[in-house]
Amino acid sequence: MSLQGRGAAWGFVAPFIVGFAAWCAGPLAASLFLSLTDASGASARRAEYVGLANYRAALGVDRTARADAAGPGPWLAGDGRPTDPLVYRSLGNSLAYTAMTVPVTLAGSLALALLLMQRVRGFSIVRTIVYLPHLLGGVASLVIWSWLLNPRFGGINAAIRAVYAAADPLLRATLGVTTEGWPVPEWLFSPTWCKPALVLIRAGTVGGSVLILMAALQRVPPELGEAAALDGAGAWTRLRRVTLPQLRPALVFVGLIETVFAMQAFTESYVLSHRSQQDGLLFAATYLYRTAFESPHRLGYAAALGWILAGVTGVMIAPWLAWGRRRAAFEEGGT
Amino acid sequence: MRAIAPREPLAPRGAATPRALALRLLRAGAILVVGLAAAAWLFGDTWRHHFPVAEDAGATIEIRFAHFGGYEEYALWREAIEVFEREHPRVRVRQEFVVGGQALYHGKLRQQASAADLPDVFFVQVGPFNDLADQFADVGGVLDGVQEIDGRPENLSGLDALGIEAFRVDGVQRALPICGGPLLIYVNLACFDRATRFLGSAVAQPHEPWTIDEFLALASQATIRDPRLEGEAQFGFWHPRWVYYLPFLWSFGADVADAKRWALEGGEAESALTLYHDLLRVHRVCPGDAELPQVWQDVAFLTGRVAMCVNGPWFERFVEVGVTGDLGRFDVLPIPRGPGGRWTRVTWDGAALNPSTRGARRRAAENFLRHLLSEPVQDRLATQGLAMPARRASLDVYVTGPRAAQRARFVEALAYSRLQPRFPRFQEVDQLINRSLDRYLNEADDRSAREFLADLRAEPLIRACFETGGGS
Repeated sequence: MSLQGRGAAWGFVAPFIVGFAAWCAGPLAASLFLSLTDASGASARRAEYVGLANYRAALGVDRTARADAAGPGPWLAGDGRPTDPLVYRSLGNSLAYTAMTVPVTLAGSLALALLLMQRVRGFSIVRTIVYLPHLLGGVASLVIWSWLLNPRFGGINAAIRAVYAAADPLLRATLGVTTEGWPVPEWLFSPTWCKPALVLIRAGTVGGSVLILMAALQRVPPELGEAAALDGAGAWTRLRRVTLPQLRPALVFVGLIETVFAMQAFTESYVLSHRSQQDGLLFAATYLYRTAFESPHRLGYAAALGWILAGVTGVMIAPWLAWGRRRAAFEEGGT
Repeated sequence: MRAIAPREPLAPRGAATPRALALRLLRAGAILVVGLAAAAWLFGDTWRHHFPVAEDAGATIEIRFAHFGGYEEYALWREAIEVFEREHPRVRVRQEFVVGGQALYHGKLRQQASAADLPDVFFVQVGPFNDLADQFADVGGVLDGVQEIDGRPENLSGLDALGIEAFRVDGVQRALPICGGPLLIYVNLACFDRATRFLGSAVAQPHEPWTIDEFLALASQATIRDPRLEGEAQFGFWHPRWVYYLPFLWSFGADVADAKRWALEGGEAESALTLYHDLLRVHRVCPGDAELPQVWQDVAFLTGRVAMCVNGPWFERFVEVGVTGDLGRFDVLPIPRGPGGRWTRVTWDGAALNPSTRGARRRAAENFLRHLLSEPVQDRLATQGLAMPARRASLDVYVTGPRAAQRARFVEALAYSRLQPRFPRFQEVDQLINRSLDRYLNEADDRSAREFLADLRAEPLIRACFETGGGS
């Protein structure tokens, strides 16, 4: 390539390189450096190098303190308590939310995608409706959900009460029980129900994943299903043996993205947190943000939390990557 | 097919025509101009910050004044600024304000301080002041020499003594109180009328003097969870956060901490914490979170869902404007007397000067601070009733108008007021106490007050900040 050609090539690539260096690699390096200092966001004094002290403070256990009955979990049972119990609490919340939300969204997206691929009159409108909440997103959507989930006045509990009322005569007649006094979930005002509430919200905004899976479904050759049907395979077998293996790359992608998003969930937690949840929605990213940018403004410590969160997220996405790689190896071997 | 002849270059390589050269120069010039403009836009403030232009004796000086609050606060301080600018034609005051709560405002102040970009004059609340004061020491020295601002030390003695004390750290006066007031109990009298109508027997109206037991009895009578009560249940009392519960804690004879020692322990503290828990869980005179979801204290009180709440003089204007019709009757009562006597918590908003402001701007900032404490501004503040003035002479103006009786109770309360405890890492400890109390108040938590206090004392943060007497 001529000198001029090479210059042009670099010129075209330069915006990405500059952007990557300025907004990705640079901040990554800076945050790694910050995590080894006692930098404060509320002080103009020079940050000092503290080695791994931030990581020890985040993950360490104070053996001189009495164990707390309401501590972070069984893995720290016995004497002592974490030097920062909220690190374990927030990571535990993020992991629990991920474990709940990823299977639900994945299964829900797949079911919706399969349903919406059917050639039924009027389904194009349904597809738009399914996708619309994904477009709304953000704080506005969460505020609407918070009202829907209001335990006294919200639409969700009104629907549950209506179901109770409708079922009451039947239950009285058949089982001799009444639905009067049956509890309704307190959703965002309860430590038990706050995470399921968030899963419900997430499940209502799966339009993006549905779109990806529908695109993948369109690429599944119909003759594969037809051949299987000729061999006597039923609908369930065709789905399990033909469609799902063909969808695996898309499922890996959606699962991976959902896992990363769930582990890094912030807006939901920041907007919908309430004292009655007892930190039930304090996620790792939220705790990081509060530590860095609200009191106590510990930037170095928050940077260490960020790297710990990145490490845990890495572990969580490893199975997805392994599954995806197995597929790639299979394809390479098959060709 | 006819072969296409190779195209001849218009000009030999390396020998640009004058026109092409001019175009290149023009392009380079345009890129340079755009680049310089972008750099000026991006880094102009930084440049001016590090290389300030020498002061011109005749030039107009601009100082920055920061505060927080709603529209009424904005309008009040705008008015004060306009008067000041008329009196000082060469000084312009740029009003920087944060709409809403103090947390957001103080967060911004912290970031400004760490960027060495504090406003020249700024309001600060007693609560977060301690943390901020430590931080200000980092950015170029504390605010000292307040006495010399006026040149008249007697002016300080004209301000509320606790207000002065609130902003004095290690013997150094770092800010001056401007406005504030003590916490009392607001009573929505219409709730008691409704309870009387519903129960068919007279429910007494709260009156002073009253004890904690009498307060509890009245709160119980005003609590009616029956939905037939004109549509919605009502509750006797709004469960306060811990800093608003401090008056009760002190009235039991307990305390939280002093500068070094953790003091939230012993029989008095257990009694106070037991009541705090029982108000919500045993006597059930306060609404649980799911009983009035997404409703805050102000709305609950204004709409008659809650009969009593703890609040300061700044709530009066809000209640006056917000409460209408049948709910238009409210009273203000002192904190009930307990075994430890009668106490309440007073809080002050102070004004501080940026220690880095120098020269003519410093003098203008000092003049503006003096102006905020002047008789006309303090009297105007008193008349408006947003808060009590720090200048004691203006308290007479405060106790006027249709709410004079209620306002007089706030003035009386200054005599039995205390400042909230001052200790290191206040905001972190505040968050920890709130978080621990939330857990303690949960229905599933079966700890006694003694066990709760022992757990709180054993928290690593408490152990790091205070002498805890080996209670863990």
